[in-house]
Amino acid sequence: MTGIVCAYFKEAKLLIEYFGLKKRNDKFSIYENEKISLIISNQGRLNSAIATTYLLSTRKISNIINFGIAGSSEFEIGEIFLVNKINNKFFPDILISHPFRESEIICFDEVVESGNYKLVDMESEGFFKAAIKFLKSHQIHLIKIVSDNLVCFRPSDEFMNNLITPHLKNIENYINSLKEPKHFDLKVVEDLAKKYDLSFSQKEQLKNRVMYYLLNNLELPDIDFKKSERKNDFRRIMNEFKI
Amino acid sequence: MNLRFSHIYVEKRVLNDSYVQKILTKFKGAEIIEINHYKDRFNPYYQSFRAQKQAQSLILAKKEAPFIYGASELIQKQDKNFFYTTPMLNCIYDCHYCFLQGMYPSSNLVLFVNFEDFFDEVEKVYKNLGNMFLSISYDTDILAVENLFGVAKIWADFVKNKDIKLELRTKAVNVDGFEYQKNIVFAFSLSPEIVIEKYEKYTPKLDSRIKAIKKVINKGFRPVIVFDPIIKVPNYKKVYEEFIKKIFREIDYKDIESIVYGTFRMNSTQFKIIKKQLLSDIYYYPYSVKNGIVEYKDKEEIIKFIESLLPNIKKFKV
Ligand code: SF4
Repeated sequence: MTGIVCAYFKEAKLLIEYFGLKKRNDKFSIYENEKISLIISNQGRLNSAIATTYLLSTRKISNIINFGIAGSSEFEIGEIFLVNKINNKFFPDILISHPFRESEIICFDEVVESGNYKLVDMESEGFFKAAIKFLKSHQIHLIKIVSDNLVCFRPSDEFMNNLITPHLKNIENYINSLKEPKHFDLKVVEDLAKKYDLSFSQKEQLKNRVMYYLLNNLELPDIDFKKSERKNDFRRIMNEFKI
Repeated sequence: MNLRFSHIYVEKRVLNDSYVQKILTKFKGAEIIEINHYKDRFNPYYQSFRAQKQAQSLILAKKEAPFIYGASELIQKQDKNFFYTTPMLNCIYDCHYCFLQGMYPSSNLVLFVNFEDFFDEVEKVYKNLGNMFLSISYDTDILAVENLFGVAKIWADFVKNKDIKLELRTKAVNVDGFEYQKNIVFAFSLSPEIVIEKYEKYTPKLDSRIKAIKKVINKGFRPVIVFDPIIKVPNYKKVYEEFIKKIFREIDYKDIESIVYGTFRMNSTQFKIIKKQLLSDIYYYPYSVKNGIVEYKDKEEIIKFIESLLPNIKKFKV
């Protein structure tokens, strides 16, 4: 599942509609379907960190995105960026090809109204610092759209619509290209452990053996003898796996 | 698609270095990202060594002391005064058995560009000892990226007319840029083709490696051949017998300086770390663990068997 953290409902609204997310009855404002879970954090790095932590500790999330608007003295309003450096010290790992430009971002505690900055926001660092407690840096993504050239303003719905709509398809493609971790089916280990009442360490040894077989594309032996004494049963099982 | 070097991180303090500028011109489309210190990018715990292998970044940095190290227990000591140095961290190849996976938090390639600082230190130690055996391909396969960075050539030029043997341990085949030089030791790591295919991702095929060995022999070098790690693949006796016979059918053993060989072994802490992130049957084999080293239970038998196949030249078991 992919998590999305937005500071404001205004930033999230178009994603909620586009992906058909449904509001959940929860402590936070959370909108979900079976693939995406979006949380509204409110402004600032602390709020973002809290919401990110909440989402990651209550859902099975393998990738998380901080999506929102950002100020810039350099880029044009409406341009979209994938962030590759936060406050000169945090580096989301960008390991897949993507349709966006990349930029660094500086995260401030106050609204920034002057200076030379590629991108500025108020959430990125808090989001990232919370996310790294749960995920690796290639599973953490920040997508920012330039909303202003460092002026303080209240964006209208129409403004946000014009800003975000042109990028929705690319954002969707990006989310679809994120990988879910691969799992091996080790049900056979569970079944044998249960049937022959194996100890924890016996089960681990058996798991290693089964993994060796699976990774070598060897056919697993069919084990189905009558249960007797644990130690003997285990030896008999392991004898079936020839290495 | 492998996006290797789509991102290049450069320490601000080396950004204007002429070598750095030359490297950067080779990667026109890459994102260049300035950093304060390579450790900011390389050290964080929240990276995935495994995931980064799909799209390794390059980090250009300045190394601080120490610049050379003595040998550890697990590598061969063919010579006294053995040292290794690390002009680069990590490797563009991706061998399942590589210990770097258990050592570093990141698989991004760090290239140190302050060659002079390395040279000063080596010079000092070397002058003291009178001679030296120096491996520059220890935490990496330096020749694998020779066409991009030319690091081995820079070192080869440095050791010219010095009593320093420079070892280039490699699976690569980029040997064209080297003219005969008596103190360069090419040490070619060879494995049976099925081991290469299964466990040595991105490395050249066996036949290309044999061709590279012939090339350096023709130039006058006496290369070392390395059979390490020997992996106990199914039917390993048949596999290794055919493999070693093939090698010495194609290469006259009299042209070889020595043979280095050893079975797969690993520090058990590194073994555990790697097992958590890499899905490879190597990490599911029932080994013995003795004194913190994971190795084959029948190591002696494997070694005896391999020894029976080797020609009568200088050999080093590791
Ligand atoms: S060639 Fe050597 S350094 Fe490179 S991945 Fe393989 S074992 Fe590691």
